[in-house]
Amino acid sequence: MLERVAVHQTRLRVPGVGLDARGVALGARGLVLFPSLDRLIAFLAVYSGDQPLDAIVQSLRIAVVKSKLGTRELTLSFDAGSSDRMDRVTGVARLTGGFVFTGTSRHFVQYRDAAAPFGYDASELVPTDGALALYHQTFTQAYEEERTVSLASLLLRLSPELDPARASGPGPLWVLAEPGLGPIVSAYLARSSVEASVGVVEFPPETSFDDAPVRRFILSVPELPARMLPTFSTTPGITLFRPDAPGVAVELGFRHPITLRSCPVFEPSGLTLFFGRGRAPLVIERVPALGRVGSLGRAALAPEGVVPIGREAGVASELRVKLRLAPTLEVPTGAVATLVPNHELGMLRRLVYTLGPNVIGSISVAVTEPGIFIHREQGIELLPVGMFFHRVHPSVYVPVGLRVVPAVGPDVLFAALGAPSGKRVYLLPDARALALDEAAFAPLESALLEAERWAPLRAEAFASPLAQEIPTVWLGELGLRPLAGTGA
Amino acid sequence: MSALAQAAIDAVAGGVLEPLITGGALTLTAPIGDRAALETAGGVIVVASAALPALRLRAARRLAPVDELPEPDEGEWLCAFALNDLLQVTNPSLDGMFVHDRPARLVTMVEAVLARAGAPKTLGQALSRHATFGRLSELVRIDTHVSWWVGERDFQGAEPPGRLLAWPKARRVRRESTQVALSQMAPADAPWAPRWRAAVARLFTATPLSDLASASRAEPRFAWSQAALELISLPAGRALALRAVERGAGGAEAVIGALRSAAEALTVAPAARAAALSFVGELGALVAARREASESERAVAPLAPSLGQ
Repeated sequence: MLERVAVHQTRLRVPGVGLDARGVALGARGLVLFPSLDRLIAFLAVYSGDQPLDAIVQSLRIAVVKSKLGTRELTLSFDAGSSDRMDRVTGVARLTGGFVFTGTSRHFVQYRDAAAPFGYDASELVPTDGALALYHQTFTQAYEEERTVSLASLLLRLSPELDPARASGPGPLWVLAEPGLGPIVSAYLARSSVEASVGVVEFPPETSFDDAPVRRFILSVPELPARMLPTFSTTPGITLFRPDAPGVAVELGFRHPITLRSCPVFEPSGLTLFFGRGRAPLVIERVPALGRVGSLGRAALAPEGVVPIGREAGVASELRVKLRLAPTLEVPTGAVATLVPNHELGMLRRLVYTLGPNVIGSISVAVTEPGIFIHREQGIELLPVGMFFHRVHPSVYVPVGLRVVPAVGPDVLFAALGAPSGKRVYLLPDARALALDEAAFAPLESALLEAERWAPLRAEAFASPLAQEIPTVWLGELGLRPLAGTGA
Repeated sequence: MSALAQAAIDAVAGGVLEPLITGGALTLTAPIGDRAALETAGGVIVVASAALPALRLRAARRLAPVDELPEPDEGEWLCAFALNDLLQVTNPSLDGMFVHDRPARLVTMVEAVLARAGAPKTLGQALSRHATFGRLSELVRIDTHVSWWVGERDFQGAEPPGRLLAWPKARRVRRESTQVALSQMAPADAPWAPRWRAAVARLFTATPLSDLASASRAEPRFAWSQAALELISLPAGRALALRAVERGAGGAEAVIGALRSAAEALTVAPAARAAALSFVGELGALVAARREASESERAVAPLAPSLGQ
């Protein structure tokens, strides 16, 4: 039986219970008895949601107690502090079905309620060797403490609940990725210029059959763009966590039953990740070294010879690019050469029959392995075969419709090609350069006709007026009667 | 005309006249004599060779822009026959073992032929004769002296026989050929030689353009003939004469000197002398003008080095 404490009462029977300044019966510790675990969890959830547990967490002790009848109940004890704290605990306990007691070591008496504003005192104490004797108006019960339960382990055993309200929204996130996805996610974030840090955590193998430690990539993303959230949320192997407190985070879309922010039981240097859907939480004793994802991307290393500006450079840096040919929109004019590939020679042979003597006389050709190069200073358009070239330098030719990039000057281009003397350099569309000796070009006339049979003719030589012979007298024998013809 | 005469005409045309114009070996025909020459030249002469008219026309165009040249007339043919016989006079085989007057007799015949030929009567005839006999002064004969270890022999206008030239080293054969000009063809010691040289001079006189053009020759020395004086007295003839001298092979300076000497020798005919000297003066001025123009062209030539080179 309990007796109400009266006003100005100075002595109480329950040991360790006294009156505070306001006359309320109060021991050194407070105790809340819960008939089941869910009531305890409900109490913690409500209390942590109302105020932080900082004040009591240091002295908080959860124990499983067993009565003589064999029932197991849970107690939550803490330093009472003052009647104000006890009143707040009483209010929450009343909501969650807990009984609030106050005492010091073994005997705890019911804390005050509306019926006894100054609290209660036991009329007689229960003789017991148990660890705990509780005096309530409705019952008096001695308990043996079976075991204690830490708050942290209790929190870890709690599975987060689905909470769509936490599935989106700004704020920092932790990203846990499987080993195969970690580098990809890092590179993706780096490419997307998303500020993030990445680290690798290792765990011992879960079974002895695994000879390699378990690795996970963990990324800290201060602000993940909303456009990436669906991708990360729906990609298997990637899990997003929203930090609830320093050192603890809950999977995105889930909410821990306890307001973890109010439970300073997790080390800020570590990280506890609560998964949804009943998966066991992941406890990282110490957050690994995190590095910026940009640092793990492709490094743009400068050549070794590069010296920062301002320092004396031993060797001048190079700024050379490969010569290329790019299409141009300029009207193609001035084609003076063409390269007729071997498979178009038949067309060329038919065309030369239609050419006039002046045209044939003005064309020079060179037979090469890729084909026949044809040159005509007056223009080559009348031979519609092959690939046309126009002259950009007296010795450099570029296909019609293309231009040289970078757009260097003709002399610079010629010098870049080695300034070969006596050669004509042809740039092909794939930027290859073919050089051909100018002496290799021969008149088309001399290369055109096949050898024909001919019949020799002998021409009579004309006497040159400048090589006149001297008239010379030759005297022959006149015979025995030389003057016979004269009639003498 | 007998077939023999036609053969003689063709022989003279092809063997004497054509080589005389173009140069080369003249193949003389047998001595023609005055009677055959006069009879032949008096008739119609048809020459089988087609080259002779073309050669004569080409030679004439050196002096005048003519499109055709008349066929050789009687006098020109007579000159041709006379040239053939004049050259045959120098033929050593003309002399017989016992007959030694044949050259003199033939010279007499030539004199008769040349007398009949006379001088050209027109400028056309003068041009025609010059076309045929323009190179008369260039005519030479090849005389060969062959010596061997035991003897020597001279061949006038004839090739030495091969037997004399055989084994040249063993027999120490030496062969020397010399060119003998027309005026030197007659042996100096021959009694008919003066007459022969006079006949040659008369042959030159018969073709005055050729005579003037070759005035610088050594023999026979040029002398102003009636035909030459008549020629230069006509403006057209004077022009032809100037061209003939200027474009001749003798050298204008030497020709001018010979003409002036010959003109100054005309002491008995002052008019002729004056005419001759006038021609010489005009010729000298023409040559000087040509020389001056030529020097001017040479001075300008470096500015256009590629032209005509």
